[in-house]
Amino acid sequence: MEISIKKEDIVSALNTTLGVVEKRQTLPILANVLFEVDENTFKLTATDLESEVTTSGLLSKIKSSGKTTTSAKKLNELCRLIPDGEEINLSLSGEKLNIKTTNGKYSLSTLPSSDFPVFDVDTGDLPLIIPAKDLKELITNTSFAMGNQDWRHYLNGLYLSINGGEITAVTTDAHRLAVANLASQSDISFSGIIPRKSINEMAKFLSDEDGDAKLKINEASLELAVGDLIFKSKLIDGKFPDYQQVIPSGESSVLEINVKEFSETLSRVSVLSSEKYKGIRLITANDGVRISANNPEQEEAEEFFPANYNGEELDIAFNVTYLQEIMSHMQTETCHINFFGSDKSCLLTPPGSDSPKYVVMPLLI
Amino acid sequence: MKLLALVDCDNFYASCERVFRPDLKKTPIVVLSNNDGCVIARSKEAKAMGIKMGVPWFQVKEAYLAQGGKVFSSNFALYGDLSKRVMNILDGMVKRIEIYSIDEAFLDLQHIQNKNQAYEFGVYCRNTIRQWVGIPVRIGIAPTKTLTKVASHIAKNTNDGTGVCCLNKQKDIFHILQALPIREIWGIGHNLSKQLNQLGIYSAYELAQMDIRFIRKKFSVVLERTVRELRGEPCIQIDDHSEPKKQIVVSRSFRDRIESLSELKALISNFAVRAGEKLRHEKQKCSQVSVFISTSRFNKKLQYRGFDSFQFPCPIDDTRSILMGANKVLNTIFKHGYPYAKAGILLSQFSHPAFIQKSLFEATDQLRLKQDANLMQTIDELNSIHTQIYYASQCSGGLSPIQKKMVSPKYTTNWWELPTTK
Repeated sequence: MEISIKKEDIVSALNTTLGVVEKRQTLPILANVLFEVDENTFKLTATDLESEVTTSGLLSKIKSSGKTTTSAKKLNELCRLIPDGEEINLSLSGEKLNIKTTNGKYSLSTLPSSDFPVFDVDTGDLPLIIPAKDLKELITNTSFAMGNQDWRHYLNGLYLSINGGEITAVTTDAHRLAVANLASQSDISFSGIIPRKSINEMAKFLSDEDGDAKLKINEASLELAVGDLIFKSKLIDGKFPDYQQVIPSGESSVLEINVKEFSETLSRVSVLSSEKYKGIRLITANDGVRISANNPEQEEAEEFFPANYNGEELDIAFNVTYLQEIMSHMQTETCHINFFGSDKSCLLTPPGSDSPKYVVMPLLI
Repeated sequence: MKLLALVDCDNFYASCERVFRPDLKKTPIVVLSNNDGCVIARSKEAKAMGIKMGVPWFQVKEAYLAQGGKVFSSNFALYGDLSKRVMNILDGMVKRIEIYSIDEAFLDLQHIQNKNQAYEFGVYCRNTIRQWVGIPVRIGIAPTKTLTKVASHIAKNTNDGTGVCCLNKQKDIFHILQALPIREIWGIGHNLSKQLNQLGIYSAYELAQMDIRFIRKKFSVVLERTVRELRGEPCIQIDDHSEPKKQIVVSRSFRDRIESLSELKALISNFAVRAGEKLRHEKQKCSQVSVFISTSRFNKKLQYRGFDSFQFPCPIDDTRSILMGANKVLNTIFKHGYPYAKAGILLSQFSHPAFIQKSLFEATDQLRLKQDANLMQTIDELNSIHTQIYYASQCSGGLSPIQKKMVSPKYTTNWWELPTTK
């Protein structure tokens, strides 16, 4: 193998693959990226055995094709530090990958490409085509509520359901729940849990610009294609809780708040909440809500937040982080907080819309 | 100048044994660890006989007993109760107190302005504790916590009989620090003292004269605090709000090796019950219970260590839930055919009951929670007055069949072991 690639092309491709490479691998080869050259393109593949990403780019020159694997981290750091605009010459000599630039030469260890794990998943042929921007928004609006290293493994991911022309994304860590919907033309029917790491990678791959994402999915795996990039992931084997059961309904007391101002007030008051529990107390009244917090050092904070409120007086406490995260994902100017009682969950939605919606359980006080 | 005091009980465990045995006033006393393994406390007379701290009992037993020494198994019920009595007296004397350990407390002497008053307070304090509880204490008075430790050290080594040392003049402090090796300073351990020696710092005075910026850069902010405190600048405050515990461990080494699951299960259940009591006493709830079992590290042929955890969906403080979780874990980690020498239970991931996060998927029945809490409280109260309520999986005999052949009566905590007079 002997080729030349522009610095920017190889750095961009390597950046895409780095997220999948595990920092602490079980097999040494999982720290490597598979480098394949064919005709006038190069292809990079990385895997952690649970997911795999493949991306490609154009070569400047090619003398001979070939394939090998080398450390993704070292290759990326080296290429990133080479001056912009340089052409990088890569050649395989025995077990070494030699890199030449205008003034330098470097030699990296390799492992045989035949040892690189093949990520064999069959996701079917029928892709679901969604605007990449919409899919990214669906993920962004919900992924923050995923479980993180929860013992209930099925909570450590995003539940995706495609049914009746609607795509629904649901996440929960058992204390809060996020649900977002997206209309789709497809008649595919599916539901499964995408692992947390894969969701975070997918959010990076989906650009904010126009363009379509192709999603192939079955009970055990998914494949996402965006431009030249193909990302495959295994799904979590488990039953997602019946989330519809925990979305409160019925008569509620509604507090209408300005998202930005409410978020700023929460930030101020939470400075004096307990560092560990982050509890804040809301006491609603006709003309607004009194927000207070205190900590074990006997320090206290209290602010009155003027807002429209329709309902009975309530005294309820929440983990302030949960409310702040929801506020930071609300794209509307105002938000409705629906209370169903001081010891029951509350529902947060944009005014006049059903998506995204968030459910938060209170703290017992 | 604001002053602090350190009240330190002399040879505490040995002194506790003497409270109800005045006949042992001049007799050497040693107290042994659980299973009567090592010496963990020595009276002044036992120290003079050359008995070292932590020495295995079998190594010194014969020579010690031959010289008329008296030995006791540890009696933590007695020591804990006498400690509580000492601390209660101190608490009544000052506005702020930090109970630092079972036998040490820092006092804030903000109401005292001059050295004479402080000294008189120290003597009064010492005499009161001696008269009311029978425990001898020594008292170090100084402007900082580190210097109170130095003062306490001086009080221990001077023979004026008062047991009180007050350091509040810079000249006196520096004079004493010049003669004090750095390894005697609070917070300076063996390794740090070696590193400082390599820099030519041998006395507390030399350390106090070091450049603060150098100390912070070369060592740590902790040592910088020590240096400043030696100079009389208070950096370490009286901490009268004890930090809530982050975990509770109940573990024991066994005198005899245990191979059967049922026997181990009964002991783990005893540990779980004790851990539950401690958890409720701390007014906390836990979300995780872990169990560990291990063979002896000296058994080179059969070595096994098992550890695993059980996660609760919601924070709990109910012994029945802890027992359920612990037994599940034990069933998964237990391996047949190993002689187990040690086991324990660990409660972690604590929540304060005032901040219990409700779960979306596990219903919390408020009435049931209240009933369960009442049940636990009732059992705790009954057990505290010695009516032992057992859970089905427990075994009798306490936390483990440990050997305590020479234990003194629980004079102050058990009606049946009250001292009698002729």
